[in-house]
Amino acid sequence: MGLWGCTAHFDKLNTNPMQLTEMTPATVGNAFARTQYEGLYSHPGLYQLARNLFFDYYSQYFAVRDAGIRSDRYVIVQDWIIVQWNCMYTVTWPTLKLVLETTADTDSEANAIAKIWKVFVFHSHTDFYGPVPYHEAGKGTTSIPYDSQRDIYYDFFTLLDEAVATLSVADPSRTPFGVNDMIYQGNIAQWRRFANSLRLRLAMRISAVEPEKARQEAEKAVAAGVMESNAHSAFMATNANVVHGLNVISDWGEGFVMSATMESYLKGYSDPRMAEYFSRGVGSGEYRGIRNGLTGEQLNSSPKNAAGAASNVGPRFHVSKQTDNPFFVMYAAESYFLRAEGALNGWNMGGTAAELYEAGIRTSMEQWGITDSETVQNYIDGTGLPIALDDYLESPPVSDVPVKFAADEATRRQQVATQKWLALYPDGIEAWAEARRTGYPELYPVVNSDNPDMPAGQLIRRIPYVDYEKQTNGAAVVGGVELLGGPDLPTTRVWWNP
Amino acid sequence: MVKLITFKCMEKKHAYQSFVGSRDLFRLLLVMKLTYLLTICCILQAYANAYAQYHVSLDVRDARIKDVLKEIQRSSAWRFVYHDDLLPDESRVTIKAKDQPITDVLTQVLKPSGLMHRQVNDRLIVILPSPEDGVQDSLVRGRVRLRDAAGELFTIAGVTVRVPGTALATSTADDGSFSLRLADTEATLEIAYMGYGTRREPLRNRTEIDVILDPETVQLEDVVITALGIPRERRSLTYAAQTLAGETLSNSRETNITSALNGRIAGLTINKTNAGPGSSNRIVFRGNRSITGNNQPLIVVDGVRIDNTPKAFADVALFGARDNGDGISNINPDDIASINVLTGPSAAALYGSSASNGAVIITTKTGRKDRQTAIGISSSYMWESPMIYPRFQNVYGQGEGGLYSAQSDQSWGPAMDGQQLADWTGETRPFSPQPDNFRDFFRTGGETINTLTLSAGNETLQTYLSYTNTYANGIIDGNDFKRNNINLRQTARLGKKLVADAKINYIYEDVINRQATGEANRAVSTLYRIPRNIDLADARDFETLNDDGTLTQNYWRPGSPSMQNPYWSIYRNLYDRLRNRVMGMVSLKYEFTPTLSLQYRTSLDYYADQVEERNYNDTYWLLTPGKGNYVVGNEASRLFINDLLLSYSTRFGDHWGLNLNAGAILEQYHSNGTRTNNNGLSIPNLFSLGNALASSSTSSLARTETQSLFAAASVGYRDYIYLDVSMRNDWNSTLPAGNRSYFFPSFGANVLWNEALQLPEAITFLKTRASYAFVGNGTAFNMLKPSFSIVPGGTTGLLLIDRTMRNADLKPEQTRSIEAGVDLGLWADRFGLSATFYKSNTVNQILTIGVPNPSGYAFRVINAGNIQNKGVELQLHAAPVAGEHFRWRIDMQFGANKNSILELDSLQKRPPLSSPDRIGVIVAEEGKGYGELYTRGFVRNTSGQIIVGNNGLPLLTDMSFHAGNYNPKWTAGISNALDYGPLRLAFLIDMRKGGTVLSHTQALMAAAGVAERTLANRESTFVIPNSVREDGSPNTLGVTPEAYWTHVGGSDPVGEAFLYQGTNARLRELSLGYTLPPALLSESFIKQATLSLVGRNLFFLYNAADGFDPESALGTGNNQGIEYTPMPSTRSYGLHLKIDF
Repeated sequence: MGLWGCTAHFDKLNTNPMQLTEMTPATVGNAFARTQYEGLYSHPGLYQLARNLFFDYYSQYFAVRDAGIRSDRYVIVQDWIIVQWNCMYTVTWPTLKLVLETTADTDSEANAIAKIWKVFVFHSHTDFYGPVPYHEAGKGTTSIPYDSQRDIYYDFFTLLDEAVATLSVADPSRTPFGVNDMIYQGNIAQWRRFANSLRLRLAMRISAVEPEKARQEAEKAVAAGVMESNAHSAFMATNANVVHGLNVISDWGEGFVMSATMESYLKGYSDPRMAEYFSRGVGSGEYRGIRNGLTGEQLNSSPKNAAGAASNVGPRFHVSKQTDNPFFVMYAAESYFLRAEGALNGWNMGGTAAELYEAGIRTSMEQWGITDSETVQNYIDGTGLPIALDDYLESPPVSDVPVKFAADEATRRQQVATQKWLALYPDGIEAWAEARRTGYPELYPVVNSDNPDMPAGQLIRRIPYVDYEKQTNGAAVVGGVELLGGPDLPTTRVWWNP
Repeated sequence: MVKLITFKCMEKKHAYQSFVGSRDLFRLLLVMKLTYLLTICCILQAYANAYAQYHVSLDVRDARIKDVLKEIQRSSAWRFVYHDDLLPDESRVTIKAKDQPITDVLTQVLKPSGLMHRQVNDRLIVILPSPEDGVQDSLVRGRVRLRDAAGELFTIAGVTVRVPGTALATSTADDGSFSLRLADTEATLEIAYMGYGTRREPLRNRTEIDVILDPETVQLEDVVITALGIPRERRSLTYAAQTLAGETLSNSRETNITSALNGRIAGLTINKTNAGPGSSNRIVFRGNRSITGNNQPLIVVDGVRIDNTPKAFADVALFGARDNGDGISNINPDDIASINVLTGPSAAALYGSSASNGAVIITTKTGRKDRQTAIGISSSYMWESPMIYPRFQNVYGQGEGGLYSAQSDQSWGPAMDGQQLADWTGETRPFSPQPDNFRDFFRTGGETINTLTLSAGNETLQTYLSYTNTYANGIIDGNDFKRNNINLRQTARLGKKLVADAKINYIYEDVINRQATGEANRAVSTLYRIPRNIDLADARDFETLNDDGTLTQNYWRPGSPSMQNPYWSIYRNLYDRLRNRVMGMVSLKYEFTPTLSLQYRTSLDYYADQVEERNYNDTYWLLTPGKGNYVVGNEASRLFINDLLLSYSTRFGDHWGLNLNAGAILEQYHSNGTRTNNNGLSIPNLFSLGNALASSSTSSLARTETQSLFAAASVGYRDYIYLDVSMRNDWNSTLPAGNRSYFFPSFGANVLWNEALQLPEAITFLKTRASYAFVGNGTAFNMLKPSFSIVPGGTTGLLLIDRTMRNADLKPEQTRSIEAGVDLGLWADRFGLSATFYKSNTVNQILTIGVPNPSGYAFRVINAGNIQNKGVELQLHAAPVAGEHFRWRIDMQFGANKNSILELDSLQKRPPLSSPDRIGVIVAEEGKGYGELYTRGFVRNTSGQIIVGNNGLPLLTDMSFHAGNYNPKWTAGISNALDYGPLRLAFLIDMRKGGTVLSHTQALMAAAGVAERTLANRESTFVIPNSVREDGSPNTLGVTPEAYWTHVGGSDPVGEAFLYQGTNARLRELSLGYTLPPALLSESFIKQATLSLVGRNLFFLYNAADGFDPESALGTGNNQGIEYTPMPSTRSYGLHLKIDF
């Protein structure tokens, strides 16, 4: 008993009426929308910290002009990388988990789409680190065990099976999540195709370690129907409150610019997408890249690295387009390149490697608005080679393969991977994963490494577990390192990358 | 309600020649006054009869009368007041009395010396000279009447009437009459009585005069307003309390009164945001207690808490901090009668929740009671200018790698030898240093404060009215500050038993374009890095208007990542805050009997803030598309407090006194806000909510309620032993039903040894005290259950889940504090020392700590921890010279605090206090202190050598380098006041030892090549001293300074290279005042006039930091110890004129 009567009103007083106290079917769409926005790391701050500062450099789409960005010299800056880890486990996954729980008994189609999305958001996450907390994540416990990447991938396939099974028998007129699904607006057929394409991506990822499983899953995916045209491609709609992060951060000065690797390929291939991907340096008036891993001194000591010399992103990634540039999720072109690689593996991919390779290029060109058939055909037939650069280090050509599909299988594999890399732009996360797996495209060695654990000439193989996690979930991290099968270093390869 | 008297006057050894105006008389008056106010009016009646019944026994032989009186005093409850001159050591007496009435005994003792005695009240007897026998027939007759607290007139014998400058003097008889023969009927009579001050009455040829004396107002030095507005005698306190007179604060001419506490309060650590006029301070007493919560004390005005929610925080998104002002900075220093600082929880225990951080208790002025109308004018003008500048190099100019570039925002270019180069404006001019391009940006700020006060009234009705207008121009063009304070206080005695007190205070405060600190875009941030050859005059032309109505910013590096034209920053990135605040209070007190009263009080503190942010198009780093952006935020908060206080005081037996206070409090807080972001503008630079590209709004809410019952008792035995007990129970809405009620007691005791024992003469006063307190506390609004919010986003809104794992079983926090102290006065208080030792432990602390993220949460709310603070507070005062014409008083204070985190959570031993900032992270670490700073450091081998990479540059650690603790080891202050006739010279030096500061400013300046330190080896290379290669071989790789400083400096710097100690000493205050001699004003309507020259924060005597003020704070949160491109600290100096009519 308090004063002036009672404290009976305290519980109500201590509750915010402007907030909801539980998740309901009525708000499940708002929650799912959040998992798309955050799961793609598309918010500008997230884009920078969880994508750009690491994977956009490790994929060598971009390099840095600002020496303070030490992640380009392989320093895993903990304050930055923690943002990805934190977003995944404290925003995307718990929100998605609530969506899965809320829809489990009420909306099986929505539940199926949420499962597909779970696979999508978790696969890039596990690819960064290797084993990660998965089955026990998001349950509010104080020590969360790690799962092996193999277990996680196998669960991905199971989830995709369940989801596709549900969507295959669903009423096609239903639109789960409706407009809150910012990717397909609840289009069940599109989601099914997305699930199959994702399955194809995952199958190819494990093709070196589990070739038979990979073949089965890949053939299952193609048979069920993967993305075949740009109409199938997945983009998240942007608007005033869901902006394209890259558009915003590209205006944050010249922290990052076109990489020398991009310059060597795009110019060597006379790639018509160059003007879409990049813009001319404001100072130089030219498309120019710089090498990854330059020190401040190197950056400052040459006018070739000076402010405005190198290229920023292309016009569609300009800040003014942040609300109408749809955010990339997965491109149809990628599926063709995956199928081309599958065909080279001898899998039944519904076409020859050459057909699929060319289809991939055509689809990508179309996606970027290059529709002139002669231009595209010239590109496909192109024999030009990546060029040597007039850059600060007088860099030699980054590679010696042309676009024109070669006769030998080894070159073909390289060409498929190289074209996929070019087509995936600006999705550095996927590009880095595939560069690790296939060893292609050929990339320039990172010039300097400030990370004693990471030699400069090598491609970084994974992100070591974040310090914060070691401090708070230390015993479980030890288990994770055991599952990793190697030391917790950036040179240790993840399971699918032997 | 409270008894007793101090009787320091008893032991005065250094009486002055002149009775009137001497310090001794002052004290006598004081004593009277207190007694009068606190007890007299009714107790007199109650005890008048009892008076005669007191009996004493005495047997003394040739004893000093003084000692006899002392002895009587010791064995009875009576106090004597007299002037030393009356009782020289040679007046001695022999007397033997057994159980005789005290009146008889006193008559016997005093009569031989020509003295008489008068009882003033139940406790106090005044010793006076007997009226002279055979007074001559006189020219002047008169009557003096005194007014009591109820407004009744009465007469008393012994009122002194004299003619200054002559030997002519007499005193009144019982009926108040006096007569005096004197020749000069134009003379002025001085009529004086203890507690009533001195009245000058010009005769103007009258031979009959009738004078009424009104009591003086309460003097602050001996009465302390404690928790809940309960006044207590300082001597009875069982804990440390430090008092500052309102005049001290007012004379320092600070717009934020907490700034004036700097250097004057032991145990205080203060950090300023330096964000221009009216900006916030972070004040912490006795160290930080709360790991993630508030560490600032309660602010109490006239007995009730006011809202002092800190609104200045580091904001990662801003890459800096924004100061929206705190609650206490709105208080008008000119309205303050006194500030009492309770540094420890013991003192504040009755305030309950949050009192663990101590309390600042402000008493504002009330109207006069003497039927006179006093009008006061106070005007001051202060100039303000930067007191410290960073050290720049002026040899090398714009460019990188030694090459000139007109588009560079770095100074790694060639040496500036006056060579002709095309600059960024396109003109070819000599390439020369501009050494003053930092300091020339700042203007001389100015601050005008005008106060008009009116104080009037009589014993039954008093009015105090004041209006203060503050207008200030910050040192940055466009940063202005306007404040209007209107304060009306009405106090009334309605009939014999009812006392009403009401106050309304309205504040209008408009802060125009207060600068944020931090890196991105800020004018000052750019200036810290401005290339050394850039002429500010060129930058003044900061924009071009385009045909489509948009603006283009003119800057040497268009689209720079974090800098822009500093003039653009201050004219085109605007941030205004407007506050309307009303603080009101009404209290009614009913005095059932002279010793029993009931008071009901209700108070309201309401404020509404509006924040408007306008950014013009082509502002670099604007996160929104479109042509500029506009953001409006509104926040209103209301703190509503009702309390009921029952007070009873009594005496029993001959030796016992008792005060009881009990009551109930209802405290309700409500705050809600909205924030609308236009997310871009359609029409360029039209700032309205309608002109939005995609407006989005969010709202916020907080509401809490605390209900309390409390009781406190203070028992005094013979006025030399006091015992305090208090208890309080709170019901707090922020806690779950099972835990929301919590009880906390406090205990205290003191002994006044100088009264209990016969001490050496030199010891005037000796008190020891000890207290123990529990303070309970709740938490913030809505911490128990998870909640989901909807924010704009997606197609129909995005749902935000709770990333904090809530705790439905939270228990109240508890601070247990123990303190002990001693107060010593020597040689008639010419020297005084006060020392307090304390230890406090905060347990069951409600923490929001980081948890493993795979749990699904970022944070968890827990009860945990044991934070200990122990330390010492010392205050010392001395009056080395105390002559009639020249007086010198020194006050010193010292506070040292040691903080230890004895225990945290079983899972989390090292939760970060802040999200990692770019230069460092602040963590709480079990086994260490609160506020440990971690930053990046150099990788070293086991023998401490720096390991370099293949490029010769040091390898760097992550945020794992322990930089130190941001809390100072100790703080101290010395203030001096020298009075020579009408002149007063005062100065204050304050010091702080230790406290780590990471200077992000220095890191940015180093990377930009503008810092003086970047000059070394500028045109060559150097090998990092004491360094080795990774394989252990000696390092011989040379690096250029540019390579080195861009490697270790910049936006995400190596804090180890920019680490400073906050040790500094400065002349905090200097003032010289001249008060017009009363003789000059005797015929004038002006009663008093003082003109002072005032200087604040004038210069460093010592500063361990390099070119910056280590006390600059990033905000008022717990995120301290990081200096991040703040405005330079300023010195101010000016004139203050004060006239009383």
